[in-house]
Amino acid sequence: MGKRSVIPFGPQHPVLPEPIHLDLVVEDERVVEAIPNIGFIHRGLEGLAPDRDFQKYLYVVERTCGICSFGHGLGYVESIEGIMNVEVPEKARYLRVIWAEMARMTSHLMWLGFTADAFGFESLFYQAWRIRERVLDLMEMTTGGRLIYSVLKVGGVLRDISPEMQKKILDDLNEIEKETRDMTKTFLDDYSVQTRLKGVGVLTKQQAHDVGACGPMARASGIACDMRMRGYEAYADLGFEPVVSQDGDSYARCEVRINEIFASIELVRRAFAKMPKEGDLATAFKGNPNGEYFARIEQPRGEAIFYSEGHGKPTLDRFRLRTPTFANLQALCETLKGAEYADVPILILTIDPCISCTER
Amino acid sequence: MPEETNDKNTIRPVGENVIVPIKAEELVGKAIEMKKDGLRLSQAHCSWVNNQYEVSYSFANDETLAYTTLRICVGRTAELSSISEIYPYAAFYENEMEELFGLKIRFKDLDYHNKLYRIKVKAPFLPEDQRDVSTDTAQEKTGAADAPAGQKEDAN
Amino acid sequence: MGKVKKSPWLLHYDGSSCNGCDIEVLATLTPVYDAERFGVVNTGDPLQADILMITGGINQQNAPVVKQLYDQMPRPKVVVAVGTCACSGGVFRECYNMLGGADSTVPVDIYVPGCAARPESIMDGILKAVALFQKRSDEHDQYEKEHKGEARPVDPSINTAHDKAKLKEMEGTADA
Repeated sequence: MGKRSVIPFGPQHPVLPEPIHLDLVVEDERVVEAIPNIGFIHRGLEGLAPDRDFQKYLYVVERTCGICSFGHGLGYVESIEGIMNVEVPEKARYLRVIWAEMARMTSHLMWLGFTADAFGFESLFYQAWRIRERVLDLMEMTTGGRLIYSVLKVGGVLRDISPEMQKKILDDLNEIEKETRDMTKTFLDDYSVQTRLKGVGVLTKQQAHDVGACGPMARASGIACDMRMRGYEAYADLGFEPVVSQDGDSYARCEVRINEIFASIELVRRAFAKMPKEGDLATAFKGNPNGEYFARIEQPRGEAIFYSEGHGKPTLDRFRLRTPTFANLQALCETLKGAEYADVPILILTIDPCISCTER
Repeated sequence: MPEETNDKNTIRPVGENVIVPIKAEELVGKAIEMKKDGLRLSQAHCSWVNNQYEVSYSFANDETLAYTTLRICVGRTAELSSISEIYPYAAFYENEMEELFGLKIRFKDLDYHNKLYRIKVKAPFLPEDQRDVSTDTAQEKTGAADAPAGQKEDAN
Repeated sequence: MGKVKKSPWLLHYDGSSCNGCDIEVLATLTPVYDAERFGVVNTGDPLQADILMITGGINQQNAPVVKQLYDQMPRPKVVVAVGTCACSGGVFRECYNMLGGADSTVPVDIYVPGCAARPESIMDGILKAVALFQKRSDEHDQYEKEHKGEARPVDPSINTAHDKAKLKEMEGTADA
């Protein structure tokens, strides 16, 4: 039995964009156990729910996380619409799907940049973010914002996408798809990437189920579960199929996320083809929420759950947000057991951590 | 890529949320049943509404996408039993409930002793008059919430 | 700002930010906006950094971390608060765990507003920080030349002195 020591990792670390502290119990360069220590980004924004009007509270929920911002807004308005039984018009549902899928693309491209940077593959980091800037230009053209959009409201959306914008988006997406395919092929076929990722951090299907993993973590281990299969918003009409891999190692997780970028591009094209040309953007409603509802949506990182409870007042009594990285933290600790110490930053990045979502 | 029709069996219709009220003693038994059926613990939280705790444990079925929530209503001084023997990752949710709401949960597998988030305010989600109850002994033992943690935070 | 003499290195720390401003800070350093053409490099080591960029507000857990990072940076240094949350606490100002903006813990020189702050504004902030760093660097060089060979005054906040009388005498001649 070798000598054990405890090494603190974080909260300030060159490879991690966010503060998380892990105590790694290391025995001769192998990690035996990892104990997470969170709380650096804890703002306590769920405590603001009884103090803000439920329509204005949307702006606070959107700012839980700047990367998954559209998804948070979408889940919140869905939970309120579920309580009050508000029917969203068809055109608004398609618009929400389009924006959600484009936000998913920016999130995965950003994740790809971080992972490449953690390898030292800096030029791929810059290429991925350069492509991401093109998608952000499209988001800015349609919503006015690059990361935080504020284009949702309870009952629908606030803006429309005109036919000229639609044509530009479809043309740009063709070029973006071609560039992304070239770039990701370079990443996945590279010898050093394969050596460092294949067989590292393996999570079998049973293990993934036992630790409660969700999102691409679970799908890379063979569990075919994606909240978009529930058919919320307009997904029921678009013929959606989840991207699944059976290998369960870090390479499989990278593959799943990269293939999801292409799946999102395809979903955007189909949504534009099926979206009605004319239609209302929002449904009017009266009154305050009275009841409770669980809304579940698929964020880029996994399954996110939004629970709202109101009793007839203009403010909610309780709002609860369970984000995917909170569920994947246990999966992270499981993959770190038995890993080499030098692989720790890569393994943390393959779960796609979003610590500001976790701690709210 | 698949066709545009909706006859793929991967699409399931949006289901209703099912909320099942149970008593505090039945929690561990029900959790064992859920585990046998292959359900995954999706989330657990509590709220303070109408002068009592409403604790919810939600279980998701990854095959059928059904969603079941067990609801327990208990008073301020109640003590619940942890289900972390059955679902190990429930410990994170239960630690959070204990720290933010002051709800006592016994026999947790991984116990942070009210220092998961290391906040200074005790049970911030409860109204002011409910916060000081003598059963919260764990909080008193740890003293100032951020003093020991601050020394560990070296930039490595 | 005419000529840049020394290229300052940036240290970016995220204290309770939602990540919007963090991603925009990193986007400013990537090829489309490219702050690196001005000589600034993003480093992870506080002991080699000149400019500290803080995004997000300060809460109870990260106040000692931010203070420690600030103390570890050698003088002269410049602090930039990026985003509304770092300037004043932002939308989360009234949350139970927040202490406020970055200036509740460290002295801030430049405030960049926005939610999330756009890369153009952040670039403007970086350029102002580089100009301010040049000015402080020149003042520092001037001070060194004038007081050549003298004993360096001790910063009383770091060495809590065992000798109270000496500490009192030094407080009168402390460095600016």
